[in-house]
Amino acid sequence: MMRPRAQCELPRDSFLRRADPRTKLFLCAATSAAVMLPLAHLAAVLTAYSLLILAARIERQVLAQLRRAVVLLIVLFVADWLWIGLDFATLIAARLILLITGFSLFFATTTPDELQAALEQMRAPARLAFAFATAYRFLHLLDSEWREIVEAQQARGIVVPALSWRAPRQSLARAMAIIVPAVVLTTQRAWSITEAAAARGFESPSRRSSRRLRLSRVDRLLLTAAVGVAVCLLAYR
Amino acid sequence: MSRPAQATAVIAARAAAFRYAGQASAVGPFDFAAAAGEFHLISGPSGCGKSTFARMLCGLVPHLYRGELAGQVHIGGRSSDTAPLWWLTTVVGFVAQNPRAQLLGSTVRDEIVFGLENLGLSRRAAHERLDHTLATFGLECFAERDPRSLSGGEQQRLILAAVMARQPRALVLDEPLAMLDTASAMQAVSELGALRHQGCAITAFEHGPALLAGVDGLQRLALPAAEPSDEDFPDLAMEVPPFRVVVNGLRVELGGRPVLDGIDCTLAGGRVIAVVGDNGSGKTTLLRTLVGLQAYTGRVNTLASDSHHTPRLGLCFQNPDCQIFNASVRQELRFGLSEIDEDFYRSVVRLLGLVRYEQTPPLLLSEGEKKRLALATVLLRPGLSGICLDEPTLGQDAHQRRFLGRILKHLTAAGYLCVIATHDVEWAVKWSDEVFLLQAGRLTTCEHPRATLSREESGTAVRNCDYVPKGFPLPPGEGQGEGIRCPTTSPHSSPRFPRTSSSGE
Repeated sequence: MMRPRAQCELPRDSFLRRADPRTKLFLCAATSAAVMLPLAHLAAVLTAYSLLILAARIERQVLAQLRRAVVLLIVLFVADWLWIGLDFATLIAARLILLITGFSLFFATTTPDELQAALEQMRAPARLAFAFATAYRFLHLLDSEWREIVEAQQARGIVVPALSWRAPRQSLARAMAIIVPAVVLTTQRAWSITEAAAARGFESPSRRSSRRLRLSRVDRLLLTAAVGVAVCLLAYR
Repeated sequence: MSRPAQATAVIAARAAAFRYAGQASAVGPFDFAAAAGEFHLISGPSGCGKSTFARMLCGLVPHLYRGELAGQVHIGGRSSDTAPLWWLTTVVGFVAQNPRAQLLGSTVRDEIVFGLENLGLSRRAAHERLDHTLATFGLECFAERDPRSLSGGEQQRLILAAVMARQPRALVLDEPLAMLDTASAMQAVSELGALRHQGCAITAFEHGPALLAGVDGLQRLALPAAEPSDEDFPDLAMEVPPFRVVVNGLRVELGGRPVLDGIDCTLAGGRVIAVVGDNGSGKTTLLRTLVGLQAYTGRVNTLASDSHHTPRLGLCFQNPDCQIFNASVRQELRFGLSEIDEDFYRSVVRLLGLVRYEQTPPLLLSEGEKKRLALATVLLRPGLSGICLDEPTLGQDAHQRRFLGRILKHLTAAGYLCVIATHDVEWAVKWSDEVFLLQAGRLTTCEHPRATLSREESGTAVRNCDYVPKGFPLPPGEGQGEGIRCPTTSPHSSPRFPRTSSSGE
């Protein structure tokens, strides 16, 4: 999944930023489903997807996402090439790239509240929509909290090394120095959110989303293009 | 505490008590009533049940917490245990201590809209109320900002706005000023005063009445608590050789923005140094730099009288839960120490009042006890010469704050350097030897606490965050407003100092 944006950073303006979240969800789902296509068709989808990413000006986030998986991609590509063949290696690499970056387009251009509104308008239960949006909103905090705990333990002289098979018990004990506080802080945060939401009447049966999502001309164009591409690909398979 | 429940009260509690599931003793019983336009301040020390009582008055207890509610709590005329929570929240709004932990939206606008959506208002009505709330609380210019990018004071104002947008008849606040610097706290107090004049029944829970004391028509109530016992303060079985930390031209940038700039100061062992300033002024970053957790440019030199001794500083984080993870206090304290000096261990445990908790799981300790445990774990590091504490008095009652002050005095008597980042100016003035004032990343004043106190008493002052770094008349013997007067003296003066230094990353 797309790594969440840095804290306090709202998505950059673009036509995809302004598009309906449901359209973007559909595009991402369709792109992810396209991994089952043969190589030639997959290349067409990848090209179209890359153009969308460039148009939405989110290439930096997508490349950052790919960078994290680059070692895995290279290892798989080389192994497949050596044992099976270049065509197969390219196909697997293209599929993985599409899977890894599939939802970047959505998460780099959509806020958690827009995700919640989209889910609610798609008739998902309010609780579920809130849970998804909250998880998305707080993902970046896990990263910063983890770093804070590591530093806090360093400040008392505990350095957490990589897992060592020579001294597994000691390694595990030191890993607990990070894991236990992380669990405690996450639980505390989850409880604070629950309390804050309940104190503002979240369970109300009369809850009503104030966002009205409407498909714009751009949305209809994007959806038509996506459906068109899908039909063509299936027809010429 | 006893006040008869009134028939016209928006909130009324009669012999209300709550026993958490799995606990033998209950919190309460309490009698209380709050009518429209009243402002109650309920104070009491840590552990007396303030937070539980606050949650009883808004219905979160018993709806969100497992346990037994005894007595009666009526909110808007309905019993709190039978009425649904969402209905109770239309009558009474609740604001908890930490504004950052209560943020739910991606933008300021979304934060306010969240509560309005739950009222089932039409889109038009919701937007009208949103615009009105933004204007009333002066948040229009922040409407599209991420709430996490706001200052602590602005976040607290936003939470207050988000709750008040729902137009509840009563407001319950659990230590609303605890996380705020003095200026933000004063602003929050004036906003609460204005809400009271509009007819809202306000009930605030605080450790002490200091900041709310000036509110017009304030009614004070106190929760009963056991008298804290006087703790035994043994001397530490350790003597730290004299040393100094000299900082020159220190600059720290985070995300391309200077957080600290041009910091020049000297910190001597055997002294308590308080670093004060508004939220975001760079206090925590200075501490992180001193202990080596933060990359910087400039020079941080340690000068030790003993050439075999390299002074090192440890850091206690604001949230002690970041540092504790073992099954008992004893295990926590001994974790990772290959050799333990038993005398030193015993003296640290006694000094920090942890003897009776040695077999207790750390997560069951109170917040103040956890902070002392975190301090002990850092102190027990071998070769430590000083400690930095980030907001150690946050959320602590008067007894805990006094206890901490006395501990620090004992540490400095043993030669330790104690650097404390705090926005609690009163505590800093009382317990520190020097006060460093940071403003927007610059060290604008280093002075003796008496000077800070004098400025506070004179009316302008630290309390209103109207710091006067230059030209301010100081008390006799303190000079006349030289502005920056960085400390150079130390109780351990004149030894020859061989130099160990570090600079940059």
